[in-house]
Amino acid sequence: MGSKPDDDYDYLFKVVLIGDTGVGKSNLLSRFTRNEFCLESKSTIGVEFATRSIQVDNKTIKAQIWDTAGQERYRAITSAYYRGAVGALLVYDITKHESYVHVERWLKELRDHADSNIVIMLVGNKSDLRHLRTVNTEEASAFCEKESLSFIETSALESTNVELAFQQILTEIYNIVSKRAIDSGQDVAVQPTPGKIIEVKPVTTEEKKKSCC
Amino acid sequence: MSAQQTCSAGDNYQGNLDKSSTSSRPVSAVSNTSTVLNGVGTRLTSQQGTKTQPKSPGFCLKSVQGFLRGRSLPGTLRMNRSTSGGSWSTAKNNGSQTPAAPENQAISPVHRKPALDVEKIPETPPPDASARSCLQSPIPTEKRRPASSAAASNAASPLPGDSGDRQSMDSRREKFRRVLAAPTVDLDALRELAWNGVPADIRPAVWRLLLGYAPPNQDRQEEGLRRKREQYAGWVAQYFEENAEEHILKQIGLDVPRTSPGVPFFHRPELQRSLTRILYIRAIRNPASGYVQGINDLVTPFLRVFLSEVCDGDMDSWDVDSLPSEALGQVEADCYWCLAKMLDTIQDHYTFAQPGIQLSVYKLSELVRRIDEKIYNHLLDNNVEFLQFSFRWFNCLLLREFPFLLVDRLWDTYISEGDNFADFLVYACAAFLLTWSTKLLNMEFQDMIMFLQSPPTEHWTYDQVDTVMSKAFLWRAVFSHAQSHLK
Repeated sequence: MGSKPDDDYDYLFKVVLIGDTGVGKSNLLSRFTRNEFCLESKSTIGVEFATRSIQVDNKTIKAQIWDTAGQERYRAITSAYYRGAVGALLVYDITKHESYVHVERWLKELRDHADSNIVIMLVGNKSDLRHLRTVNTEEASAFCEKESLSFIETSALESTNVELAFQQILTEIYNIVSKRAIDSGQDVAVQPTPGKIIEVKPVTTEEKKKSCC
Repeated sequence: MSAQQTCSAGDNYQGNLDKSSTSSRPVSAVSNTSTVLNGVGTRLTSQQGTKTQPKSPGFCLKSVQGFLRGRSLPGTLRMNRSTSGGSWSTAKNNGSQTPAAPENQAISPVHRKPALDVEKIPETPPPDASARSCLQSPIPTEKRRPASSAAASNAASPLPGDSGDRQSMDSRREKFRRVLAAPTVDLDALRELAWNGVPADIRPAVWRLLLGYAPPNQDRQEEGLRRKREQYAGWVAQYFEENAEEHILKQIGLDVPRTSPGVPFFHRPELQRSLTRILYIRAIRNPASGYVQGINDLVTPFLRVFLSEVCDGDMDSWDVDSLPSEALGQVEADCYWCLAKMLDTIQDHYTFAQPGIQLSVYKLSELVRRIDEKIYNHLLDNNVEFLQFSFRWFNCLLLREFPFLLVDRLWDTYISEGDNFADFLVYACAAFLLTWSTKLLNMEFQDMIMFLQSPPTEHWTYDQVDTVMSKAFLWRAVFSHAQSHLK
């Protein structure tokens, strides 16, 4: 928490972290935002929030990340946070096949509650536990290709690919947003009002005039 | 109702905390008692430093010690487990207590509404004053004066001399003793006394009675408890040892190892097994709610308090694994029943879509609007939603917002509230939120959310808990006569 003004960014993107309980969502977030890993972190109740700004294309992109509780019972609460999100990191644990199987269920959650144009990245976490792996990379990768999702494997513990995962999804969102801005003749560097979320609209289709939020 | 009476909650039994314990917040993920290793290339060599997060229900922390030993890990690595020789005192010693408040004999904390004369209720302390009082440096329990609390406490504090302290402490203890010694315990009288805090040594007995677990009739108490404990043991045999439902066990198994990471005895294998059984039986006996994450936290005050009856010495040194199985079984059964009784009053906090919490969050926002419109508008203007910060408060009954050693005091009041607990919790959350209103008014969305996610209570003592409870008490007195805004 700092006294840094809240408005020193060019873009503000809301991103949600979702996935089964215990797959390491909170540690991915703390690794990305504070470079911390907590060996015995408590379970997340409801949602938790953190932010970090990164540079893409000489623009400051501020990510507002909402880390959600994984347990089914919290779904009614957490799904409210999908509203206005432009990106979702859908996390599973590479050592727990079940958490990978549930990815389909999570995708449905997103289809039901999030904006249809939300950028989704599938994240296989705990890649440091190679000897316990039960989900193979190729299988997950092929699934993502079929579903048009980005894919990455990470280790929050070893800090492998965590930065990259967030960089990639934020860049992807940025590209969509800035391309749309060019298409519509806007100034790409337009400053959004603090607190307002930029919505991702399809680059090609024009039919959806009203956004989800 | 006088100011003294209203404010008496701010001035009461402190239980026991040694100095160091009051100044740490062992349960916080960002606790200042955490071991923090900084920088890339940190080598983990100690036993303490070799533990990692749980990976599966049956996952044993020890099994990864070897895996992590000597490895270089980037960034900051946090371990909440306290290092050996920790300083938390047990609840068992009957240490110092601050002077007792003048007893409010006329109005039971639970049944006070009809007796209230709203006109006479004093102004609640201004938020900034309370914020100041809550942010002051911790005061060693022994030296603590009630005057250090909010204005509320001052009104009720007796003479500050040590002899006065001891006298009122003794007289208060005497009152408890008298109530507990009656052939049939007067639960209303006990509730009234306990609302302001219970001396640590009689806390287990008082909780058992107030939660309706132990029969108030002394002659039937032993037999009643024996039967309940047997019933619990029967359920363990019936539901847990045979055909346990895997999906429930799996979730519980994930959460048990990450329960109160800062408190060592929770991580003893025997205790973890007990905690698992308690949570499992509770889930199976309440299919409408099942097991909901966070309920694991709610067992911890019960475990600490009931273990204090069978374990000696410092809480850090409790050797739970060596307890006779009968003793641990009894503690386990007591924890189960007391948890179950407590949750009975807030059943809909944990059922599908958690309607009880959603309603409470709404009530909280309406209450804050009434109490302090300025902060309400500030939150609104910055797009801060009450759900964003108060969901966890209601789900875990503020347990995660307070240092672990203060939670028993919080529970004293909760348990004394009985059936009014859910309603009281809304006022308690409002009091807790408005403790920080001066700070919050200078913050924007992001800072507010981050602040409220982990408010700086790590140096809090019983005084601050009392202040929050007192304010909640006052506000309920003021606003409960016109609850239409909460409907």
